[in-house]
Amino acid sequence: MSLPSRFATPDQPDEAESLTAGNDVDLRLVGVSKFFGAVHALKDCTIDVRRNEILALLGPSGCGKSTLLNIVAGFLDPDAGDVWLRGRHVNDVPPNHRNTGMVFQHYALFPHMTVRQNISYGLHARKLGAEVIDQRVKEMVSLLKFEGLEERYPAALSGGQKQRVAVARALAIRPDVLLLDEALSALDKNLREEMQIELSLLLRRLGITTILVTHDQQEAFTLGDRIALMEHGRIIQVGQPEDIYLKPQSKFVVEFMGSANRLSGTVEQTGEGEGVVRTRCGFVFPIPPGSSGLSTGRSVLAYVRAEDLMLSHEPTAVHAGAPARIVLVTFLGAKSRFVIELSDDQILVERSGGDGPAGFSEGDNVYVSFPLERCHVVPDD
Amino acid sequence: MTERSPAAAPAPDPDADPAAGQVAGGRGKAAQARRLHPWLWLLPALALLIPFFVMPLGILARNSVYRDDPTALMVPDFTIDNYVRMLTDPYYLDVFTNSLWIAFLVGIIALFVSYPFAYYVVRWARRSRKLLIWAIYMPLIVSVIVRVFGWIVITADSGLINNLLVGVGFIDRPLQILYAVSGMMIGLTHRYLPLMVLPLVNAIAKIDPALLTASAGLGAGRFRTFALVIVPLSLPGIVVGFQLVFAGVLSDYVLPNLMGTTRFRMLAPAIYDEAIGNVSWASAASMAVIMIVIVVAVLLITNLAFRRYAPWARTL
Repeated sequence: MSLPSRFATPDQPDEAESLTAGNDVDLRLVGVSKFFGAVHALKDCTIDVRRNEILALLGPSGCGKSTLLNIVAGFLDPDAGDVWLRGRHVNDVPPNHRNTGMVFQHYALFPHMTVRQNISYGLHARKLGAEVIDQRVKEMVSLLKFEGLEERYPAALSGGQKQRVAVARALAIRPDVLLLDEALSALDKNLREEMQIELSLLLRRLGITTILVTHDQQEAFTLGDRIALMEHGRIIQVGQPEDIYLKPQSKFVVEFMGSANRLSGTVEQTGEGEGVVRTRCGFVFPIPPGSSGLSTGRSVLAYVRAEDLMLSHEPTAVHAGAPARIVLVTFLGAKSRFVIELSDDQILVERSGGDGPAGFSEGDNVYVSFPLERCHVVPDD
Repeated sequence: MTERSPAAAPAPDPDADPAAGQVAGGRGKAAQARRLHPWLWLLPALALLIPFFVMPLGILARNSVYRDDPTALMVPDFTIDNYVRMLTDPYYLDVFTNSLWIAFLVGIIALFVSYPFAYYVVRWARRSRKLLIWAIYMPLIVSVIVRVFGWIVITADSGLINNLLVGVGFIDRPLQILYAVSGMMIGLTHRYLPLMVLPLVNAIAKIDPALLTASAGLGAGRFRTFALVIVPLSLPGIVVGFQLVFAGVLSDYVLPNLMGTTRFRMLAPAIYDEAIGNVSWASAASMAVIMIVIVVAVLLITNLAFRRYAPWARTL
């Protein structure tokens, strides 16, 4: 096996010709499956990551996203399926010959090495010359802005500094693909949000193909060009953040994407032959565009996010029956939150600061409306 | 990674707070009793250590500057003659260099035997782990005398090893293993092996597996990872293990006596002979003091060197 990486000319195996679709595909996973004992951790995962793209693998813990990342890096072997890196079939290539750069959740900095030694570790492994290594370390230090810390040991660094060093160490080897494994989750909230923005700008500036694993929707949205949502070892939906947020294709996606009101109901037929949804709490509205699998009589779940709901004192097209009652008004700074009760359902409504609590107070009878395209109706299994 | 050992951070005792003592100063005796309270915990240990360890050491140091007398056993005096003789007379110098050399050698051999074993136990052993650890503890449980008899059976001229080698035709005459340096070293290595293995197991087990993954991810092969990550990070265990084995071998009395040879004198038996055989209590005492100084010096030097060249180790 020759030395890895962009420093040597990559092997061009015959199979590479089957990748006619993309010279610009840096990573291709085809039908990747993984078992841990009896647990089916990954089920037939297929995805392409294009050059310079940042893909966020998003999902709850245990959904298989870290397993997928470890398979890309070569730390785990898939039980089925193929992994291609830069057109090279790498199933049988050990991690140290793959040229991926991984940033670990707890950084995994070598505690017995200084910052400089940590960053140059992968460069020494590639047998680069002392001058090149020196140059590369300087570049990384200024790129991630931690001048003056080069001779420190990791134990003498703050969490944020460790984070930067870990990213620098992974970038120093000029990886084909950068892998971030919950890389920001050990930071506290403010620092994490700062780093999300900084990292997002940095990765775009460098134009480096990146896969990040996170359970944090905001992190995925801040960093990711595309999101791949995972559940129970399966990639459920792939798309740009807007697509995932506005056009969720399943109950799981809507529920994972944040606080939406969930209303149960049924599909009914009106006189004109149009299908409508009637919720248990009394809302009636046409089946939203883009919904599928909603035959008459089907039990369904309708999701509407709190920020998409509007309140009014008059009955609305959606809500013409018995009014709801405001039971709690909470001022949250940029927005206000209303808790309203309607028959047995509790519904959250959030209005941004401008709309204020003005006009609506606790005890008021109100009616609700929402833009139809902001309501997601899925079959209730 | 930055957690301290429990010993380094004694739990704060509210009763022992000096400020609290001052505030309660007006109430005199009660406050004083409360200040003394933590020290009471040390009482049993002190009651044992002071009369049976500290005082004998003091007497030993005192004896070492007395003068041996053919008729009066020891004559109170203050002379460094004993020390001068120990450090100039070839017989005594041999004793010291022999012992230092063997202690160093056994330390190194034990390290090279123990390291792969400890590494296997930590990294690979699953079901066999308990058994292997138990096998290492065993020697600490079985009396060394019992084990010596076992080794005698194996290493004697007509013992297992020699019978086998002669039987196969490898050698014509039995090798001198028992009652020679080699037999003694086999015994010493086995006796002190646990003191090397256990700190190593402890140190290797502390290495975060993510570091090994990270090393591979950065392009390092197995050998590089072992040499640059695993070995340096197990250095604390290597140092402690070596210190324990070194100090143990240097002061061992049983194995040089039962498996070694009088043609290669070792320190502890030599001190015994000096005191009992030659009835020279003062020179025996000076030998003992020199031995203690050597052990303490080796411990201090290795500790200082370790702190100097591995400043990160305190943060592990």
